[in-house]
Amino acid sequence: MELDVAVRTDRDVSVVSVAGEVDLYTAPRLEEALSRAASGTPPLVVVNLAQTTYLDSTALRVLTTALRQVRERDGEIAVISTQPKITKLFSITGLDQLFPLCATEDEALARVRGRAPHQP
Amino acid sequence: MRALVDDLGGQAALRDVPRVRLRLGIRSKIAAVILICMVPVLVLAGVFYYNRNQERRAFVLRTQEDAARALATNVETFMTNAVHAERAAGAAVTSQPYPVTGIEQLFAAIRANDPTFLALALALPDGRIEAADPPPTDRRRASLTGHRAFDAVRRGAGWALGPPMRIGDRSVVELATGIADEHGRLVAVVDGQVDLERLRASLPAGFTRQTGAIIVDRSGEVVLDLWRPAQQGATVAGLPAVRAALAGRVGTVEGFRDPASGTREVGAAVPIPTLGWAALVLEPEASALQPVRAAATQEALWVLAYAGLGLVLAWVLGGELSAPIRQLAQGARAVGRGELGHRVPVRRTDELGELATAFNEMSARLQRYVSEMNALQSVSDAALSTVNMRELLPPLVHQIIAALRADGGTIWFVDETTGELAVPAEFDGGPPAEARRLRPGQGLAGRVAASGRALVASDPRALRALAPDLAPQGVCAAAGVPLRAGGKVIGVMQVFSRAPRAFEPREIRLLETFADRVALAVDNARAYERQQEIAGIIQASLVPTPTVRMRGLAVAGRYQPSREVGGDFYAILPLEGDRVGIAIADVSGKGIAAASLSARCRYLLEALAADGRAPDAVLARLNRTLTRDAAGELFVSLIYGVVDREAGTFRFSNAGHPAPLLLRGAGPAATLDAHGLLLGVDAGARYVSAEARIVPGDILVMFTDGITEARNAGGEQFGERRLAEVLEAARDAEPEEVAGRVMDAVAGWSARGRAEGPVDDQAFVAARVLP
Repeated sequence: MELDVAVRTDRDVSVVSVAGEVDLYTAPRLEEALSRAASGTPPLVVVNLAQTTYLDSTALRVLTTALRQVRERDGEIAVISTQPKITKLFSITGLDQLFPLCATEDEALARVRGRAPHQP
Repeated sequence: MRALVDDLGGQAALRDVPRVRLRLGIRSKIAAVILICMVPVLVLAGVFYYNRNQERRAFVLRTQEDAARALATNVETFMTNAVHAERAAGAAVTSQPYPVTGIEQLFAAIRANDPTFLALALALPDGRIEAADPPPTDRRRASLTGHRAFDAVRRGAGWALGPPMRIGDRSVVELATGIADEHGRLVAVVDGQVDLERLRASLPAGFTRQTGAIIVDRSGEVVLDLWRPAQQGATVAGLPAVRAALAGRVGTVEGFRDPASGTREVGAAVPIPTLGWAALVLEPEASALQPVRAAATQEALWVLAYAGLGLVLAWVLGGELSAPIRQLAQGARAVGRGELGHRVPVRRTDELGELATAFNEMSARLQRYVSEMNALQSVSDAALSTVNMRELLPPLVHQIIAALRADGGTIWFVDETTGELAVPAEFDGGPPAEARRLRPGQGLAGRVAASGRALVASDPRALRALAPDLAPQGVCAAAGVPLRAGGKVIGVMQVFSRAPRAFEPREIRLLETFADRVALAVDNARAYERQQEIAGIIQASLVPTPTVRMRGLAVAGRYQPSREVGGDFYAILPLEGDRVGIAIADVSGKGIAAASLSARCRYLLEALAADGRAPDAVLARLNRTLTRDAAGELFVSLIYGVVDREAGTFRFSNAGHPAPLLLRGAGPAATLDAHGLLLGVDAGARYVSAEARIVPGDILVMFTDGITEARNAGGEQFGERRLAEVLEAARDAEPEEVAGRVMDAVAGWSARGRAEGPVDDQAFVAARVLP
């Protein structure tokens, strides 16, 4: 039930590391971290879910809201997902069509910097 | 820089020095104060003591001086007598012609009469001895010329003494007395050997044997030491007192150490003017000062005894003071640790006893305040929680009763429509059944509810007037305050006592504070219950009958709402032809918002599906509408599929929902994949339709994540694998039974630890293709 959210900057990109479970109770912290991370112009954000054990629908809403806001400001979000469970969740919900899923941080950084429009 | 370093080093060194702090208790301090107060007294006593001692010593010395004077007078008288005797004898023998033998006979007679004279001689002025007794051995050569006494007399002195001599063991002095004729011419000299030992006999009785009586001649030579023959001849000339006496003054001796005996002595010396000698009296200090010392010692002992008594009293008094203070300190520490029940013994009536009483009162009051605070806190906590208020109210009321130290209490609730007051059935400790309802304005609670103000009845008479309902229950005093919510009185909090009791204004204020919290809690709980009720009603309208049977298809669905109503639903929609639409959905979020979105979604879906539109088109349209409405705040995962028995197909689209499962024959449960984005995220999202072939006997299964994500006590999810196992084991059962087994398995899984129902909604649909 614990959640650790850390935000650091890699030059122009904010990297949000999410460790633990994100649910109805801990989602506000992820929301706060994402809004902090999305303050750049344009906002470039990498969300690292490699250490995330659980995401519920509230967490997905937080992610999609952040994605919409970032895209509105011509930015980009990439998600690092190394766990089959998380990858599967993105796949089931179709969110893998919206979020570029990357295996490594380098890939994710290149992805948001290139701002290549995501092809589903 | 160097200096700075040194300075810092110095400071460090200073810090390192362990601080020696004198820690004195009250007892030691009182003793110290009394001791300090005693110092001047002791100093004065010492001065007084010293002065007294000096006076006593002076007195002793005066006594010695008197003794010395007496001695001097005696010596003088003795010598004067001897001079008279010699003069008389001389006058007798020179006044008329006297034969030598006659003179000698006279002298012998005188000597026999007065043993003072060891010898008597009559000499002519030229020194020749005319007659002598005892007679000289050589008469022709006998002359007194050269004798100091004789020479002095011949020079004109009336009488004179020679140097002291010792003859045998006797002290002897030569006394020469001049005899003159009527013209004053010296005609003869009588010369006697005076035995000084004879002085002893003439001394007054006051001289003890310890008293040294010493006669010293003008040269400082001891003429006679009356009592201490062994000391005779010892010189005392060095004594300042003796020198003073020889110079004609009185002198005292203090602290003189006798060289022979080694004893310290005191005494006095006075002059013997006629002889030019001095009389010295000495006494051992030990005996002379003994009475002085005894008196001084006694006085010193008294002073010390008083000082000691003072200290003992100080110690005892200090103990009397410090013991209760220590107890108080221990008490304060105990209270500080939170042992609020700690009390200190009160055994005194003085200020310390008063302090102890005040301390006990303080800790009692503190204890009461803390219990009140705790009660207030738990009531506030309850007000903030969303748990069932009816379960929590009775313990809360008990806490309030305990905090106010009342004997009982009740919460009355106002019926909004009738205005009647009633005690909830949960209060088994409340009033008896016949007294659980009050009309508006009836009884204490009725009056409080009607007036909206606190009421207190402190004694049975007031109580009978105010609350006739309480008097028969053995209550003597009662207080009631209104429970207010939203500007209305929603109930009354009432406490009572079985003994007469004046509820203080402070206690009434406390009761009102409790009542505010309780009212808030009740209001919250009611609002929550109302909300749940509404959400439940909406939800209930969405859930179809559990089992639907139509031509070629048997469908069973189950819906298990969570503690808070969520947004799962399923729908079975008969379409044109033999086709049947099946949908299952999970709306994110909980409560009314989720339930109403779920209702909207459900009816939109029904409307869109009615045209026989393809599932992907239905989802695309549904998504556009929901995205526009929900503005990204809520989204929906949904599967919509159409079973076409004639064509033998199941054509479906999936918007972010866990994939449907297909069970066929003895094979494992297969997932039917067709991915699509959640509804409500992206208005432009596109969906695909997938098609699965179905044959009679197949079972199609759809579920929400409330099934697979149900957790046991260890936090482990039920999971798809367990779901598949349950399904495979139930593959031959009717859809209704399949659904039942799945729901039971999930309930059994999550029941291991969770008693309050599932955390998330659970929906499940199974459809069997019939021959």
